[in-house]
Amino acid sequence: MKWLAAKATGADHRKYGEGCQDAWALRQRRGVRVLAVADGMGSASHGALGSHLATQAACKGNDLTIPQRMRQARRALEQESRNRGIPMRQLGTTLLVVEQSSHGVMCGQIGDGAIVGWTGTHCVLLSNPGDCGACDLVDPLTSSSWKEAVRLSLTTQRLVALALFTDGLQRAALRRTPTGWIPHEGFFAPLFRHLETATDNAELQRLLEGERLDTHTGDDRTLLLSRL
Amino acid sequence: MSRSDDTRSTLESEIEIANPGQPHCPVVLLLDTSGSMDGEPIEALRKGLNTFRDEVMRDDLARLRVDLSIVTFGGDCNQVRPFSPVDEAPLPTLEAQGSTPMGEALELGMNLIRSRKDELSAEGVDYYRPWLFLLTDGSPTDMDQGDDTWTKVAGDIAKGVKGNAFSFFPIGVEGADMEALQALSGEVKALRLKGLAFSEFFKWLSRSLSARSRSKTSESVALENPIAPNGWATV
Repeated sequence: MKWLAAKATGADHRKYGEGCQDAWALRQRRGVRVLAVADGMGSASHGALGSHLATQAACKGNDLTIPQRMRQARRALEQESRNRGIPMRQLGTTLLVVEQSSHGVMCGQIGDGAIVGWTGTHCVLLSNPGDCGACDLVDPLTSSSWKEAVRLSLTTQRLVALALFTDGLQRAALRRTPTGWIPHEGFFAPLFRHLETATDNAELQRLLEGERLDTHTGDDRTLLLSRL
Repeated sequence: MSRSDDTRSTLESEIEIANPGQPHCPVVLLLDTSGSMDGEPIEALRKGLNTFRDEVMRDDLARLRVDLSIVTFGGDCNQVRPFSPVDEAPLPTLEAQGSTPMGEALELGMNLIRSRKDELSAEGVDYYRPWLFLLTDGSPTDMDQGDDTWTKVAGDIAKGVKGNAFSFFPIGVEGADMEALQALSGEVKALRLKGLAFSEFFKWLSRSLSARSRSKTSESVALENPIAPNGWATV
């Protein structure tokens, strides 16, 4: 098993002296890998802390279902909100969690970003950013209606690898068609090929910080690649 | 500093970006150019529009994302500027004349938004919720409160606003029938422009679009309050 991860701060955040509000975490034990990425909301004062706590909590513990992991993340935010005496919304964050094993891939998602699988020859969309179109409503993990907003999916299709990413990469990685989202193979194929040969995160980090993505989006971006 | 392709990292030159274009921020301005706007008002409106273009062009991101269309209604009703970035097509020449076919202008504006969204979706281009602005100094001459046209127009506005199809901003200029404007706007509060403060309004609009261009398409942005003491409007 092998994985790569990188994140970069968007130009809009750098301009205002802010750090990256995305976070990622990973846990591996006996052939089961749990991966999480999260995007702290720009409108939340403690979004970076929210995304950090959510990903860490989601990856904690063994033999848990995806809904249990999401609940764990939610509880960590509730705890922090109480400890700091700040409203939940100030910790606003999305959360994407995956459990990857030889039995299949289970995904849970709240908010935008996406999870894409790789069969070795083509991409499969495992979890999508949601059908928000131009509406101004993204339900974060901190929303009171978070349970209804969680989207779960399971695939037993043979996948060799998968990618999780926050919405900063959404326009680079997915196309939106009238019938739904489609992963862009021109974006993913080089990444999954790179995952086969890479020995560290350096090249992926250069990609995320590089000019092409930096001028394409002003938003923070995080990418996790994982192969079974 | 820009780097050429050969100094890019390997992955950077290999990946293909799915949507190389910018997300669009559609804005439709419905401008009353009826006879009563002649003289100072139309001149102030012209100046305001120029200020708007200059301000948007000063903002790197808004310049790429604002997708502006203009409809005038004075005598007849026409789309005088198709959707495009502010620097890609000239601003129309505004002449004040004729009656106030406001109902037709509103229907045209809502239809333009609908077809623009279809176009963008078909091209896979992301977009923000469109904004529909109505600036008028009179009352409609092509419908009366309660008649069929009125009922349809008011119903379409209410439906569009409620279904998040667009955000509607009705603005009355001196002489406007504010009561009729409010009745037409339903739950959306109609605002009255202070004097001929078109420039202040258009500066506010460009600032709002700058803030919006920096937000995610899925996030709502708090706008500066136009009815604050230093704002451009009163209720």
